[in-house]
Amino acid sequence: MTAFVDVVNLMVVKGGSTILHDVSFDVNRGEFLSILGPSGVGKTTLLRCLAGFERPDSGSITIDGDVVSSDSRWVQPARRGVGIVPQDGALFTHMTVARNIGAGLTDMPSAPRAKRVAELVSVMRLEGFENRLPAELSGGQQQRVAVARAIAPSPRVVLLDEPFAALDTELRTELRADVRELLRKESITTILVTHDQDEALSLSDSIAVMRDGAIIQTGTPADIYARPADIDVALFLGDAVVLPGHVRGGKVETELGALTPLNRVRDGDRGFAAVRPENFYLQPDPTGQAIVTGRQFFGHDVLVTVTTPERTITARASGPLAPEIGMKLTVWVRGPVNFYARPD
Amino acid sequence: MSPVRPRGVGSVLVKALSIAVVPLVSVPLIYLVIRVSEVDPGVVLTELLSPRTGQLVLNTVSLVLAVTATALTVGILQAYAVVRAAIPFRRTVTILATVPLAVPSYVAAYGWLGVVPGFNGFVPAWLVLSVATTPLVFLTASAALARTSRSVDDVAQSISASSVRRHMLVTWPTIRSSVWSSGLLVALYVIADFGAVSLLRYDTFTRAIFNAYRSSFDRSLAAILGLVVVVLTLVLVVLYRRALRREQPGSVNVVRPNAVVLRGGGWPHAVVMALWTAVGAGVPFVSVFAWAIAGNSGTEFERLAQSTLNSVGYGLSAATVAVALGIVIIVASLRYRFTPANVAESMSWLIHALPALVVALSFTFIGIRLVPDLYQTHVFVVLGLVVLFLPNAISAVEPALRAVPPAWHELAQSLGMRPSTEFTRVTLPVITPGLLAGWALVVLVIIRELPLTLLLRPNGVETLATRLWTETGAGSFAAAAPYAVTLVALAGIPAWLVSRGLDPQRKMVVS
Repeated sequence: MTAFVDVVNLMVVKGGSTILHDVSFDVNRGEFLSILGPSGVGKTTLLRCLAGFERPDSGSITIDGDVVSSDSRWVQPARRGVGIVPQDGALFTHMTVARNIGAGLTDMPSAPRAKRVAELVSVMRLEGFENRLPAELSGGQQQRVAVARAIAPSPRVVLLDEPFAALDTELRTELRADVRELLRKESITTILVTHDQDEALSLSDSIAVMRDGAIIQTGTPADIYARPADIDVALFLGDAVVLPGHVRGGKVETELGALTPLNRVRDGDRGFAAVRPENFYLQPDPTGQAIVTGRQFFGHDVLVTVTTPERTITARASGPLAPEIGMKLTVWVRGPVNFYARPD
Repeated sequence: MSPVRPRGVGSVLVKALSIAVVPLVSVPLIYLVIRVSEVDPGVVLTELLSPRTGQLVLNTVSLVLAVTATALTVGILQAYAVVRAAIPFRRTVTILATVPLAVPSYVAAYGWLGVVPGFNGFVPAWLVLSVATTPLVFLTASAALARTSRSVDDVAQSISASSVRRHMLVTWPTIRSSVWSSGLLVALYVIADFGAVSLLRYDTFTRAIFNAYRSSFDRSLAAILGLVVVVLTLVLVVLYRRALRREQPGSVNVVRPNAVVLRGGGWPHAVVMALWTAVGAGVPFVSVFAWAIAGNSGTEFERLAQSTLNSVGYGLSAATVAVALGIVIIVASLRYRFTPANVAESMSWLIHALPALVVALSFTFIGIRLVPDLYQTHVFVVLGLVVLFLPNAISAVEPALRAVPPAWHELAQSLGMRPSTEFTRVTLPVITPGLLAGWALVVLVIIRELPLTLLLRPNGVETLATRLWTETGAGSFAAAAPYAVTLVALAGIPAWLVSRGLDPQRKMVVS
């Protein structure tokens, strides 16, 4: 199957600095791709190139077989069949909810348009708010309208630019679920830009990790979480403790013992192992050299700060069994870990 | 529960003074009504329905419509080019767009007359007033357009390929309320203008009122026409208030949208805009200086010095009193939530919206009837100027006073300071720089004032503005030139420089 959205060697240079460097990726029809990276790595620029708000310096973008951007071709935003949901929603402040949602449907006769708007109002749980102005809505409702407006014309691709970032946790979870449901129902190909790893991991079919204007890893959420391409990705995807070590006899020798590597390693390599907080096993041991110095209770689990002779590590322990502050421990690592050799 | 209000000698003084301002700013209007009510109703009706009044209405309304339409069109195009589009020499073009603020309309009229003899009637009045008022629209529209959010612009682009529809989605909603408010401001300006239309011999209400006042002993006609202008102005003020109320607070920090690419790289726009200023403000400017160099200004030096001294003297004294009263009113309203202070403020805004000539007219009635001892004295002129420019003073000091967070007052009290101690030790040091800047601006604006000074000044006393007006009216351009140059150099350019550094929204008050 050929890719539905195909981005090849995209380059953007602004004011002498390279914003996007040779970015290539593809998305299948109906797939949900997240572009994940910290702020300032060029995610938004990439999205703006896809939407047609910026023209890349080189490279091409193809949507459903149409080249929409290349050295020789340029399709303006409105003709790309792309819907966009910006971070701030960007509702037309002078239009009611219903008119906002219908803003992209002006070519439609009024009866089917009203029907389509009503349908989206219902899916996005905006009943009763049709005649309100954006200023009279909560932040979450505004984002709902923005999503509905982008999806109403049934675009080929929907671009989401951190649309949930400004909302508080509860609203965010609820809205994410509703949006995911709607996108699945309409089987719209979606590209989400986000710096929130939980969001990317939980929503996406696949993830592209971005750093310094380049994509450094793509894969399914499970892949990426289990096998980060390098130590920085590992740290970005979730908390991890970095332990220096070297490879001997196929094992990674560290201060916490010999660990089994997940990835392929060579004897004699020196580098770092990344251990996730949930991979630590804290064994109470009165003669142990590690001591519990902090404890954050979250109900379902507890984050325990442990000071070992070498460093301070954060480990996840299940609620009732978590050790108390001041307890002496021996720290073990369970399960295989990722090891990243230092290039030298 | 109600918040505790600070008490003390200061608060009594502040309240007493703000109560005293209320009659000061409302008497002129009330007195004009009384004056007209004394006239035989039959006469009033005859005057109102006379063909002459009809002609004045037609003249005034057509000038107002033409100037407003021109100023809106030019000002919005300028603002759009400067704020949203990519044009060459953006900063220079921006500065050029505001240059006319430095030239009072009657100085511009003088400049044109100096180059084009017989520059009289509708078209000249339209041109001079359009150039003078376009910066008001430009500044408000720029401020509004600067709030255009990139993301909204993006969404519009992804929704529609038609630029007209995108403007309807993004640009128009952004500037709509500022178009209404600045349009009404321009209309008020045109109705109020006296200097330019009188020099350019175009009969609007203000010119007719002045002629009626000058040419007969019975001033009833002037009063009747004055009241008509008051009613016209009130209608516009009510509309203006409604337009302001609809103004939406802009988003705080928006990412600027991409610059719109214009045909020819924006050069045609930049050139046309530069031409507009070059013709509109450049011709009078050059003319003023050319006459000043050509004329024999040396012989007149003593008169020039005397009128400069008078102008500056009126400016300094009236601005000082106005700023002091402005502080009193703002403090009474902000800190004590004292209703009479709010009444005084609203009333003074109303007076400010009226043509200065009409305010001056009612002051003459009051002077002659109620306080003949004060009439035609310096004190009376200063009093009139204070009433006229109180809103300028209020809007100049208000931001400075608001810079003191209300929590500081409570904090100071908890530290055991008395309100008066707190004012001198906490409030004053914070507000002083802002107050001085505001005061200086009010001085400069008052120096440019023409109609009120013209009507109320003591016999034989001349200011720069009145001399310029008289000499130009008599066709002595060389004799008028030194006054024009001094006015522009003394009041125009500094006021323009100061106001450019201020919040664009506030500038409309100042001009």
